[in-house]
Amino acid sequence: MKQMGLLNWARASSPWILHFNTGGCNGCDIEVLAALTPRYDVERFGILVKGSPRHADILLVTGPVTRQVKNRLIRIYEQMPEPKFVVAVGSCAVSGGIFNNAYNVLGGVDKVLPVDIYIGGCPPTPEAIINGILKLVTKIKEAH
Amino acid sequence: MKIEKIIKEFMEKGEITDFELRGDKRIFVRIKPEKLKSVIEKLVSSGFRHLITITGVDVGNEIELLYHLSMGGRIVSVRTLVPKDKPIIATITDIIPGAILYEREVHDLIGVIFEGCNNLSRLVLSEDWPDNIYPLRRH
Repeated sequence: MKQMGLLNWARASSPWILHFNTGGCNGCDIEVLAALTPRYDVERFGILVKGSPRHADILLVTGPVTRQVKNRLIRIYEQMPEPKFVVAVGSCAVSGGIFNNAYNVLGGVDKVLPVDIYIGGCPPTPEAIINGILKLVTKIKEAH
Repeated sequence: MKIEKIIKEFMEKGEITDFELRGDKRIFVRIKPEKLKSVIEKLVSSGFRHLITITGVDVGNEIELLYHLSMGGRIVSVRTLVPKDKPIIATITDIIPGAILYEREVHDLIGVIFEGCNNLSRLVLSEDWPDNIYPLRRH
């Protein structure tokens, strides 16, 4: 592994998350909430959920991107400070899932935003979500 | 008033063209579109005051509208057909004000124009949706 810089060390030690549902069924949101409970204790990795995009490093998106939510999603993403990362949680956020090709759905999050990590599953387990975020953290550590 | 009695009255007056009982909880009533208001008015004043929803179905050359009204677990579904090239029907918002949401939804998705409704603006479709395209119509 490359030598980690101070900034990357700080970023990798405090991946703060903003959770946003772009039109899903709420199943993934429940799993995301479960992943944040003391049972899984994600704060040992420095993961915290923030209420404002201005405080967040990672945008955790659940649900397919609908036509109506597209501009709101972009607006939230643009309010996040650099460097920022996007994690697509669940089959819908990855590809549109069963809602793909519906008249009101654009597809997965990557139709609108650059996605760093895809976590499949309908819904993915809390372990899978944590694993995905940790893979992103490894990516941050290895970044220049 | 018992629904059987209401239906009998309707049949005698010629307000409805047909009816069908499915089990003891669901009653389907077929009417001509111009009779809609008087039938809904009569049902509401006899106790069917809860409008569950309005459904629009594309059945080929026509659009079928179903008005589901309930009282104490029994549901009366009033079905009527409007032609697809001229899908106009009278509003029932003057009888049931809450019907405005259902009328706007049906207007959005299947393009029925509710005559007399004072607000048919967009409700469920996205802001960038093109005009005159109705997603639940079969082409």
